[in-house]
Amino acid sequence: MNGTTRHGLQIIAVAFAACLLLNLLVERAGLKYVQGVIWPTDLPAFAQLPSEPIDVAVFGSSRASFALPPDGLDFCLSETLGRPTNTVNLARTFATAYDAEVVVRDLLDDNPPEVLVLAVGAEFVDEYNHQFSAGLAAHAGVADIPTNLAHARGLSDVFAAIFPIGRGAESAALYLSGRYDNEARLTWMMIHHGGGQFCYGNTPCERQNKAYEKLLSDRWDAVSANVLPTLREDRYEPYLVGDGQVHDGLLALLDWARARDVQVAFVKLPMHGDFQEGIPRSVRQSFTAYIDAIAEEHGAIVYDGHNRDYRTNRRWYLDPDHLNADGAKRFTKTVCRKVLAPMLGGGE
Amino acid sequence: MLFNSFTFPVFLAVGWAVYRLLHTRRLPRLLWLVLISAFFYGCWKPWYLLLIAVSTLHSYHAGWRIDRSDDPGVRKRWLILGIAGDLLLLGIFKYGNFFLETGEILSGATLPRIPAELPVGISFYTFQTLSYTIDLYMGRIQRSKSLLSFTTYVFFFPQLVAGPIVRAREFLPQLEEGGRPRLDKAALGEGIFLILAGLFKKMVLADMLAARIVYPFFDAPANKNTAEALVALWAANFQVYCDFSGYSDVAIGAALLFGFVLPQNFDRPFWSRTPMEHWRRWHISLSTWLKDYLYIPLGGSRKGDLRTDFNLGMTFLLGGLWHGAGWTFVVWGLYNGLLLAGWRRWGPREAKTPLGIALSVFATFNAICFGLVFLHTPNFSEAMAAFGSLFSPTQAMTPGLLNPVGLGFLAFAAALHFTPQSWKTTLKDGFAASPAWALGISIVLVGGVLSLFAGLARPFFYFQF
Repeated sequence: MNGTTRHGLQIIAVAFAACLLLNLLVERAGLKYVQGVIWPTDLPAFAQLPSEPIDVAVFGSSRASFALPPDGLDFCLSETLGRPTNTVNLARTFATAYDAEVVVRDLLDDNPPEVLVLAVGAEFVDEYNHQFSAGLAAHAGVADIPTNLAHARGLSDVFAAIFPIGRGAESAALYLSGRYDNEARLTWMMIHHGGGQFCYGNTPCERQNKAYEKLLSDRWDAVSANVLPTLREDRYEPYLVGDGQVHDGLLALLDWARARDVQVAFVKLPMHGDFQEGIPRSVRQSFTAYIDAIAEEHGAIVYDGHNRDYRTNRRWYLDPDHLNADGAKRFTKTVCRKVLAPMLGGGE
Repeated sequence: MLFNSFTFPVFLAVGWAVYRLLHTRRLPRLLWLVLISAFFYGCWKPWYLLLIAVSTLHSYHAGWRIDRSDDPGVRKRWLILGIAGDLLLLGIFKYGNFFLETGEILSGATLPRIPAELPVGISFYTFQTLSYTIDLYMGRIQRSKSLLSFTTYVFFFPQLVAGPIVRAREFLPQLEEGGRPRLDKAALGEGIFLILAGLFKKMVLADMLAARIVYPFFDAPANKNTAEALVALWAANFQVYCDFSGYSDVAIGAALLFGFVLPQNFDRPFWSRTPMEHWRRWHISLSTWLKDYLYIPLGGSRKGDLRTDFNLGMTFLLGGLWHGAGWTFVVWGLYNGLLLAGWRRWGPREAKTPLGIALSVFATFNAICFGLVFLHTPNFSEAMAAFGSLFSPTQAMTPGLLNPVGLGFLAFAAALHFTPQSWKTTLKDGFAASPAWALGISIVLVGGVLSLFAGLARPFFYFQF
């Protein structure tokens, strides 16, 4: 090996070591979730989770982020239970059970909620979730690299598996620059309203919800034109539940809940018929059977929020699979009364 | 695979380390280069590899046929077949739907479409293989004796996707037996510097200008104020420059890490005093390609003023079409051809005084900017709207369009461009001479800073649910 090669390998080694060290420091400093702002819950406000007991923690994908505004749930629960409640929505874009388990372990270990709501769609438990590698890159730690490499099914999984090596540099830069909390709306949503896309209870909230909806007013057409035509191939072929990292994540999550006496509710979220038609019948059947079986085995509740009105009525939606503010308000009330209030000792 | 993605440094580190272990032996060294280049390119769409493989084999075969025959007729036939094959691929995949759409408009009939998108990099590697076939026919180069060398030349990942367009005579000698790429510590440091500097230009300057000024203006160019339109055009010019020259820097730097020298592609073009000079400093590898293989064969400036004007117009028109399959690109090319022809005939004489030089530089910069309208607008009505805004001094300003952040980045990009070259060279040499630990830490720190800007070109990143 000549001097130039040695010099180059030294540079690579130093860069690699610096990345690892930085990542370690960043995680030790509690800044793991200082990542590129994509969603309210990507903010370090994760670290600002309430220190008082949490009643309800919501997990799921973007659908859950829209469907279950935490202050909407708190408003209804407080009214029903006759005491103030504390809800957080930690749903993340395209999250799977694997992602939820990591976040729960990272953030709620010291302050477990009374009820864990897994607001799910078929993708949440799919081993072939088309954005699984993005979740892996966002959540996995350095120690997980060997396992994730062993499970990698393709190149994107391989790169996602090793991403934690470089995440520290990214997080440190985001933190030092202040970029992590520059998205005023998102910061506000997380810090003052516990996450979720909408908020309730005062005029500024309603105004903001409307402004946000206006901003996304072309979503329905855009999704109908760009997502729905290839939905089946893009997201549900292949589809697998019950064997893999996502399944292991869900089991670990349920074990975590059981060990801490946390009640678990699976809430199946509404979606418009236009979207539902793109999900193959076999996928819907596998998903339902899987959730029912695993819920029964672990003593969890299953609530199916999907009904004919949500299937056919476009007025509840921003796009075919994300509720708008009115839809979320309505759905929140239903989940509060039919699922959460009874679990928390009140209501129906 | 994009240069500005997390995967690229990983790919580069692994690719480089294995390459260095193999670098003393030609066969494994080249095989490895082809393999990683194919991987790099196949990351977009694996079927692109089929296309580039066909282009490579076809050109190599045509070159072999030209070389083995002494019969001028046979040689010419294979030259035509070689060129036609390459142009056929380009014609089908880049221009097929453009021609069909145009035919549909002209005939009124409904025509089918080619169900494939434009393969990344096809315009670049096609021009490389064309140059090989033509140069071989003209006797300017020796035939590549090894298919592996030729494949490495076409596939070589740093320049494969967006140039520089490397000529066979520049690259093949670096691959042939005895032409083992040489690499020392200084070149290694220089390569890393160019990669980091190029990524900075692309991810920080170009993307910020795009997100803060260029896209907000060109998304709705109508009813804007003259000052807004003018600043947006300046920003667009710097954006394209930072984007493309940044990409070229990364390509040149990455090639350098493997011991290969690629030609310079940009030479501070906004110092130009005439449009002719601008095109000698801008995308140099394309400009010289067009000059050598189109302008000069058409007669260049040797056949009188009128013919020279025609040659310039034709060269730039085809150059415009090379940039994209659309009528706005054709008009952009034609505009530049006419600009050059007009400036050559009636433009101001070369300035000698500092004020004259400054005015020439400013006039040239703005003349190039006006043409950019056609590159940044999807159709003529949008282009006309942008031109309309350029001449609307009384139009009310749009709040936020000329924002301090965008203007700050524009000033920064301009300052960087106009910084004396000697300062940049001093910085580069100092960086290159740094010890390994300093270079390693610099990579991580700069990488962290660059990650802040990843995805900024998309204004509402979090809407991608």
